[in-house]
Amino acid sequence: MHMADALVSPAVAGTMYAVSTAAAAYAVKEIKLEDLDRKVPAMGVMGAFVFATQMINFTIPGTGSSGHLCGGMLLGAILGPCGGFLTMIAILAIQCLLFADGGLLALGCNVWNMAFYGCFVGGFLIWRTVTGKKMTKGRITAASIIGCIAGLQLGAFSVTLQTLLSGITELPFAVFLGMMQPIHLAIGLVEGLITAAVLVFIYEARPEILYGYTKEAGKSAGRMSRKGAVTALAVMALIIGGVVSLFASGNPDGLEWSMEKVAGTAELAASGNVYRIAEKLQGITAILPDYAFKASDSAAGTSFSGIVGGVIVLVACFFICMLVKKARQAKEQ
Amino acid sequence: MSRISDAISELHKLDMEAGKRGWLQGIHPLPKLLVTLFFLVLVVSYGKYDLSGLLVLGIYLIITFVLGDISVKLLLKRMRIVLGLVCLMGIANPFFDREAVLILGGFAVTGGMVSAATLAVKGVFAVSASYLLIVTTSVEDICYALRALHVPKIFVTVLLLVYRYIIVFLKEVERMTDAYALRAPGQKGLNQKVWGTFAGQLLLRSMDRAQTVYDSMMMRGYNGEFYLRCKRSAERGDYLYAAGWSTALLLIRIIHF
Amino acid sequence: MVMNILEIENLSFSYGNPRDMYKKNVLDDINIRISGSESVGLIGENGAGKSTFLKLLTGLLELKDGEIRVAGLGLKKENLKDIRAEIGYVFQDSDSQLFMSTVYDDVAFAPRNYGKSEEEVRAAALLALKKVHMEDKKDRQIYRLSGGEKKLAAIATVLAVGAKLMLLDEPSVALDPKNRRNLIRILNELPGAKLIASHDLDFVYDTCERVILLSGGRIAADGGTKEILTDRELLEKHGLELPLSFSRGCPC
Repeated sequence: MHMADALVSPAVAGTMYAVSTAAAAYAVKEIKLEDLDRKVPAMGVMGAFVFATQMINFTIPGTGSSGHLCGGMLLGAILGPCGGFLTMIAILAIQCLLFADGGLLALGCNVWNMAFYGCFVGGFLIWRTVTGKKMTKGRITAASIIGCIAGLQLGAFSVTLQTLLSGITELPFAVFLGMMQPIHLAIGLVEGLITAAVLVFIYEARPEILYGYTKEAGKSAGRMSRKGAVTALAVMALIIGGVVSLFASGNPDGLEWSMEKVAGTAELAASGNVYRIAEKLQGITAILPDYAFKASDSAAGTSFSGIVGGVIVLVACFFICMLVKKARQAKEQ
Repeated sequence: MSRISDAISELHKLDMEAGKRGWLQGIHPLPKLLVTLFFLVLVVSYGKYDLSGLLVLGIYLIITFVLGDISVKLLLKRMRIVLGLVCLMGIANPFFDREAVLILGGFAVTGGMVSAATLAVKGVFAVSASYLLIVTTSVEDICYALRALHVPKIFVTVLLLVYRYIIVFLKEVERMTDAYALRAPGQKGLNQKVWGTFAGQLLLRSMDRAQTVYDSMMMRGYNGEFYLRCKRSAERGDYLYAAGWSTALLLIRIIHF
Repeated sequence: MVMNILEIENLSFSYGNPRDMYKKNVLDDINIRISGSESVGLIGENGAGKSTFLKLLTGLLELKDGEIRVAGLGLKKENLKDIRAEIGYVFQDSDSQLFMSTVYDDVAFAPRNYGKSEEEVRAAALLALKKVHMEDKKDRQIYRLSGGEKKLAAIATVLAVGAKLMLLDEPSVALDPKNRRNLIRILNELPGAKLIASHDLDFVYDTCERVILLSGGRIAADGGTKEILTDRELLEKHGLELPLSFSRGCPC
């Protein structure tokens, strides 16, 4: 579900960058309270581990296809939500830079859709809720499956929302969503099972590696107080990421349409305060060209001569460059 | 697994390219990063039917690719993923948006076709621009640029470490999957029975490696501070590069061909 | 009097709970002195305690019993940083030791941590790379180095802080004959004390003038390389075999 640059509008990309940066800043602040010296090499090495193991094909029994490991969930369960989140960002940045998997501009979206939901929702909220009181093989398996499914469902939902709000596809919201959610339900289940298998193996071999594990009879404990903070953050961020990007969208028609479907117009009218805040936020995030320039979002502006003109400019530019290059080479000789 | 060896050879090629000596490679990483981001923002800022305006922005790519002697061979390979994704998203447009916007020799070009084409061009431009950045700038240099933008040191350090160990782990995974495939002929992937042990063993070894890396850091006086330094600071030429391109690109966007 | 770079007195060590009645000492009553320019081979079969011993010297494992002094400094927590400037540890796995992306950055890592200015760092790094004949590869990505080059780069990272005692853990593992010869030549060029833990006895013979034989956590022999490595009876008693160059009947 890596989003490409072409699929986002400046407003959506900017909003998601802002939201992801806020989450990353929180993670950096939190992780500095932990045993950082030791954690940094572990994060680096585990990042490379997840990157490499995501290339392993795990055969799904009874089918011909294969699944992959869920990075966010695994990293969350081993490095903790903040360490896992930062590591996932590093992985996503490298995937985008070196392998063109996801765009540089869409990185904010991708961090949110995959790293945030994977590490904070799957790898922390669900991991801690299910294995918090007692860590057993069954609980680890349950947490992994629920966590992966929840993370991927939220991620798929955000992808749909971000794509539609960017106004690049004519696909109706319901159709798009109807495609994305079931596919990712299946993927989530498989990824959950694979991740569970790995975590259960770790639990049997060296349980102390797992985040939140303490020795007393497999009981896990930890800084539960942070759970509250993270929950608050998660809820807040969900609102910002989901709702505000709706308002910040450069595609008000699509917005109204999907808002009617998602929330119902009545509720929207009631939340006048949110709307005002969102409008302010929009002012901040929307210094981007969608607003600064006259966007020609109507098809009427399209003309054949315009397109041909554009192509001619490019071809001319290419030949001039080649000439300059030749001249330079001649001069060197 | 060919995917893994593909990834390894891709990394090698990118590193070879970024290590070449050319004027584009010599420019400070920070202006290059900023110009790339600015270009990307402009690309996606065009309206969905604004194909003609968008095309002109391609001047940036043509000039840098030709004058910078950038090989396009690697780029074409990278296009595949993105074009696939973009097509998936754009394919619906011609079906849902059937209002004819112009007639070309009796053939009606619909709004959906134009918007699908615009989307494809956006995809091509965006991937080319990111490729241009990474093929002329090493990952370390990008990390220096991130530091200059005040991205927290801990994150940049993790990024560097992940980059450092990717190849090591890819090779290890390749050896493991090869060893597995040799003893399990005819299997396409990893059998469900070994899901946990296969990746789990590697995970345990990874944690041991993390411990050794930590020891190695401690042995060399590590005290929580990573010193990242750029090979050189930005000079006049670098500022000119950034200023020149941002002005030119902005003009193209405002004048709007 | 020649100053000893390393002095070890009554060193014993065991892993885990000290009250565990079944525990066995991995190291038992070790006494060693190494002078400032000696090259010492530390040999012994697998599990003899070589790696544990090296980790104790560098403070990576906590010293519980006995005394260790490096360049006159007692091994204590507050001295660790100073001691680690005197000791260079070359890990068995170069990939774990070299964690920066390029050779230069990795070699410069330690001098930077010791607060040197960037010119001093540069000078130290380049000198260290010169000593291992790697100057021309300074901007290489580590992952593009061969196994032999990685080992040399790892040695350079240690030389860059000006360590007076170098500990090498199985340096010749996974090197081809040419790289192995090259490593021997470079190690012999380097001044300063070296402690080389290895079960490659030919390698030890080519690089060390003194050998310490560890067996079951105790020192079984400590003496000249030639005496010990030609003593078939002694070696076989402790699970080792004569170096190949001797077993072929040509001790030359």
